[in-house]
Order: sequence, then structure tokens, then C-alpha cells
Amino acid sequence: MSAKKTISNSQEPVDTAALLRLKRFETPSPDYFERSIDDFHRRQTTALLRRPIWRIALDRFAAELHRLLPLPAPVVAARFARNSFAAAGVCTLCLLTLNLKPWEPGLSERAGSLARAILPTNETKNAPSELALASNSEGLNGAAGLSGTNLLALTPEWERHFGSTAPAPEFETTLASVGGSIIRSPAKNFSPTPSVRILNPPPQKPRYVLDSRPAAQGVALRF
Amino acid sequence: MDYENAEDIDLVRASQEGDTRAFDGLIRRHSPRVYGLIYNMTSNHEDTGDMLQEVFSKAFRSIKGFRGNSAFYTWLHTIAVNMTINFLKKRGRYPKLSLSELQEEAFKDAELRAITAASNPAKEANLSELQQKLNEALQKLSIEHRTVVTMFDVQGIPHKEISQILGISEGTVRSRLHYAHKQLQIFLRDFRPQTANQTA
Repeated sequence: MSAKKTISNSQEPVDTAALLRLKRFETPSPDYFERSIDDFHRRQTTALLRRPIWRIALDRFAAELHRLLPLPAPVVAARFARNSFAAAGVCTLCLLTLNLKPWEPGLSERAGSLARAILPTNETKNAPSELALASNSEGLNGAAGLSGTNLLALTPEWERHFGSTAPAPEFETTLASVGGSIIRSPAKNFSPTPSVRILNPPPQKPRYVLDSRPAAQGVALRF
Repeated sequence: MDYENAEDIDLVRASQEGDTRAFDGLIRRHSPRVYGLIYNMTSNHEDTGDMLQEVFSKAFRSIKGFRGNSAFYTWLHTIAVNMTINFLKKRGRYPKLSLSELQEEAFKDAELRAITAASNPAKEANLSELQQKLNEALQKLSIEHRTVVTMFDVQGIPHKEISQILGISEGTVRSRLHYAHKQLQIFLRDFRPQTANQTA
């Protein structure tokens, strides 16, 4: 019996799957993986000690929260949104209170300027009850309870003082007009803003009347 | 809890509640396969050791976010593959190889002995040479193709799971495999099988 060995076609493809089987034998000993676990513990401990205290405290707080509130994420999100909305409301109220300073005089003026900052002028015109409310809160000069309509009724008094020819000033019925001109107890530092403009400013009320002309309007040093 | 025989999902639940011994059980169970995945992609034993630690650290930090939508094994492999691909992109194209020792069983494997003997009949079967050539050939493949070959041919992961782990379609997995095998055949042509016809 004679054996003849022949080489097959050299273009026959390499059996890559068979070759790659060798890779499965390239594994370290089981001791390596045991040491790997020890190494993992050591690394975790080191990493934990390197972290800042606030981060550790935050993580513990989060873990405790997670333990206490085992709720689904949508429920937690809804509650968070509700609480955030409530917190925002409380903060807004606190800021408003601080801005109004109710413990100091001149609350109505500050309320007026705040209302103008928040609401457009047209809205303040149509809100007499709010004006009355602002006045009531302070109760100045007995003008409390005046509504926007009552304020406009003061125009005839103007005519009695200055005559019908003198143009009466046109007030905008805003909160500022309540505090500044009608109630006649202006704030110390009151300054009209563009929305509190007086269209035809009234002449100053004369302090002394000499020969029918107000001294304030006459020539100085006239005897 | 019996950490040796418990199911993966039980160990995961215990780990999520802070049981570190349960996580040790997961490491003990999965580290050989994760090591194989990383090592066959990097062909470097030292880098693989570091990467293995990084992968389990990342898994430990993220274990609370694991919802059980996939198997823990798939989730862990996804972490390992993504981290290894990032590492390989930073490392560069031609790395220094540092190969693990071959197990004794490799020298007893008849098929491997036949391949190496056929490649050079005059020499004794030299598996170490084949190992070197094989790793060099794998490193010549692109990262994407090497990943697929490692997972399918070395790790024995089915196409569907590979597609889940890599986030690509099964068709893409098959196409990458096909291309990678073609490339490997070119790189490893010295190990082409030589059939022996015996006539009486």
C-alpha cells in the first residue's frame, strides 16, 4: 500500500472559524479572576474615599429617598411639579409682600405702581373695585371706599376754584391718581411715571390771594 | 441567599438593594466572558485587566438603572463593548500585543493541531505562532468588524443578541461578519487547509 499526498487547490478558502477557535483557549487561570474581584474591591474603596463629602452625603440622601419613596417615576414627577408650582406661588407672594412693605406708610402708591407694572393701563381703568380695595387697606383721609366713579365726581370742585374756563386736568383713574391727587396724601418720594401722566397739569393752588391774582402767579416784589 | 446558584436577576435585585456580595457573585459569574470579549478586541492582557475593572465599576454604579428589559448578560456586554470601542479609538491603530497564555487544552485539540501541522508540515504544530498571526490579523480589521467577529466566532453569541448589544440590525451583523471573514482569509492565507488524498 502506497500513500500519495497531493496538495489541493491553493485558492480554497481558509476556515476562519476553525482558526478562531484557538482564541477560545486564550484565557487566564481562574486565580486571575479571584484576584480581579479583590482588585475591584480595592478600587471601589479608593474611589469612595476620593469623593468629596458633599457628594457622599448627596448620594446617601438620594438612596434614602429612593428607599422611602418606592413610587413610579411619573408619580414622582407629577408630585415634584405640583410642589414646585406651590413653592413658586409662595415665593411670589413673599416677594410681593416685601415689595409692598405694608409696615411703612404709602402703601397705596406702592400698590399702584406695582399694579401698573403688572397690569396694562386699560385694565387698571376698568378695575375701580381694586382701587377701593387699595385705599381701604390704608384708610387715608377718609377717602377709603372711593370708587373710580366717585373720584371723577370731584371735577365740579375744580370749576368752583378756577372757573369753568380753566381747563380741568385730566386724570387717569389709576391707583397712582388715588394716592397722589385725589386722596391728597402723596407719598414722600412719589414721582409720576409715564403711565401716571397728567395730560393738562393744573396750576399750583395759590397760597395767598392779593388783588384777585394769586401771589404765586404775580411779578415778584410788586408793591 | 445562595450566591453561587442564584439566578442573575435575583443577584441583580439584591445588588440594587445594596448587597455587594451579590454583585461579587455577578462579577465571578460573568468576568471570564467579559474578559474574553475585551481581550479578543484589544489583544492585550494588561489593557484587558484595566478595562475589566472599569466595566464592572461602571456596571456597579449603574446597576440601579437596570430595569430588566434585557438579560443582565446583554446589558453588561453592551457596557463592555461600548467602553472597549472608546478605548480602542483612543489607543490607535497598531497596538503592542500582549497575549494571554494558551490553555493546555489548546495543545490537545486535534483540529487546531491539524491546522498548524498542515500550514507547515515540516514543523511540529506551533500553536503559539498561529496565536500570534491570528491576533495580528484581527488587529488589522476595523474595530466594528473585529467586534462582530469576536462576539460571533470567539464568544459564540448569536446574531440576534449581537444586534441587540451593538444596536444594529441583524443584516448589518451578517454583512460585517461576511466582510471580516473575507479579510481574515486574506491575512491568514498561510494557514489554508491542505487536503490529503490517499490512494491505495
